[in-house]
Amino acid sequence: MIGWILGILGGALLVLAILAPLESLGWWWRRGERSTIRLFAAPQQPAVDHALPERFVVYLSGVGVLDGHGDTPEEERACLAEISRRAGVPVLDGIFPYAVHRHGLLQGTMAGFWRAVARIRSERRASVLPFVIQLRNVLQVLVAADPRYGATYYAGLAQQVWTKLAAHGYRRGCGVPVTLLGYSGGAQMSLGVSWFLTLLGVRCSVISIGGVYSDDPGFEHVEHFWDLRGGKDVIRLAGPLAFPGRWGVNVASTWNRARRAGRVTILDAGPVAHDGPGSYFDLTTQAADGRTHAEVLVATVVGLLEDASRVAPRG
Amino acid sequence: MGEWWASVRRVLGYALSLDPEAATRLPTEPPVAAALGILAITVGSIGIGHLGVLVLNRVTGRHICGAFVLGIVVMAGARALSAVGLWAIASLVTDAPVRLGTVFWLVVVALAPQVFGAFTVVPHAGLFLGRVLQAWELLILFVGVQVLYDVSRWRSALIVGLAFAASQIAIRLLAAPGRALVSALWTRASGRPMFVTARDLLSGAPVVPVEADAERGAS
Repeated sequence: MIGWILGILGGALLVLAILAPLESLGWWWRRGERSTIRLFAAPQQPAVDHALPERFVVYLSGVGVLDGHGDTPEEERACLAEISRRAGVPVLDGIFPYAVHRHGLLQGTMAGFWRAVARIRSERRASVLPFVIQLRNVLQVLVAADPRYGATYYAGLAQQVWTKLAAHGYRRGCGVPVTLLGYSGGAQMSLGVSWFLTLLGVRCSVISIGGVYSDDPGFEHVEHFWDLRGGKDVIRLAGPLAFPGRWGVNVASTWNRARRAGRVTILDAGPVAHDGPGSYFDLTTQAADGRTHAEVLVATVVGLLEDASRVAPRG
Repeated sequence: MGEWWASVRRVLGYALSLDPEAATRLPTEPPVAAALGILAITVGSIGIGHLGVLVLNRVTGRHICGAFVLGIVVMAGARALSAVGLWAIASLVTDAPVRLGTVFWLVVVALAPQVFGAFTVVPHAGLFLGRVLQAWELLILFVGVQVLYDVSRWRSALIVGLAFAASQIAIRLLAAPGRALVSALWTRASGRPMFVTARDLLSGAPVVPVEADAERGAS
């Protein structure tokens, strides 16, 4: 009986994994190729009248979200608002990194199913069903990390980010650098987006918070990559486990090349867990110095944004 | 048809289970029909595994058939080259008078693990699976060489290892002209102006900048 259940679950997982790339490939087929070509073909535009900030920060959330609009946890929003206030730069969120189109799971063809899952998640925290959200989004992280599918995926996601930037006055050729702040699987997506944005002439750096990421080609493009690692964060270990390009023996991987070039900085975030109580964004749990985890995170990210302004552009 | 399918299944079974029977009858009764069946199944399966590339290149309708036929031709050509390399190295290491044609059919039968090639479509894990299938192919060759040349495990491993190394060197040497040839053939088979891989997409060439430049120039 247990064998049957495991077999059915394994088979279902295999089917889901096989279907996972079809979403971004379908988007590419229908309109992605045309919209990508249009974006590259668009001439540089003069900046809008109002003064642009010295930097834009774009936040890409972890795998637990259903869409980019009202689904970001309150504590993450609070931290982002504080980072924006203290660093004096706009922090753009509201992007759903686990789909190439501009709407999250609550507006797609399976919206009814995902709404039901979201309802169960809000009512019964102990239920297993909400893990379906994580599973679905983790599969999209694997799609993005796969060199066969990653490019089309990033083309779609980067256009979401580009649209968001443009809505805040960003214009091609304006020279304002962009820092992508990626939490968990969002770090992988940040690397891929930076790959695309640099082709549009944008200077990019990435800050990873408990990031799960591969030896993405984005490492060849970012000016600098900071990785905040919590001592109690075991989820982030999925990155070095699942992606052989992160292993030291793969000396030619983009990850190892970037490390040797001094473009990667690994930071100890203290005894911090990946999510839940004691996580990076926790507004109540205190670190050894009496500050909350959220306060430590905000201070660290604000400091890194100052460091980012001192990083020389890539030639 | 039923008999042919049964022979395909039988040869596949022998090959996948590393049964020496897969190679025993090759010199006297080469399973040509079964081997061609394996070749067709593997190309179809690998074709599904390369779904991303097909979609990226917007290959549809009759062009899929063209791409399928091209796949068979390219794979058969590549395997013929592998067979020549394996046969030449084995002839140098041993004195056994094995014909080139026999080694060719062994190489085709050794494609058997690629019937699972469709599963390489799975994101990320599919790449690892592809390596596993390749290693499985080498194991079938290892068993086959042992039987055909009547050599020890070590000598068989040496022959297959050398042949694999030679094929890797040849692939690198022939990469540029081979890519140009396949690209030209692909253009005819798929109807797309060029063969584009996912990595090409954002590497600065060829699909986005080329077409973008053309569009900009036209406007």
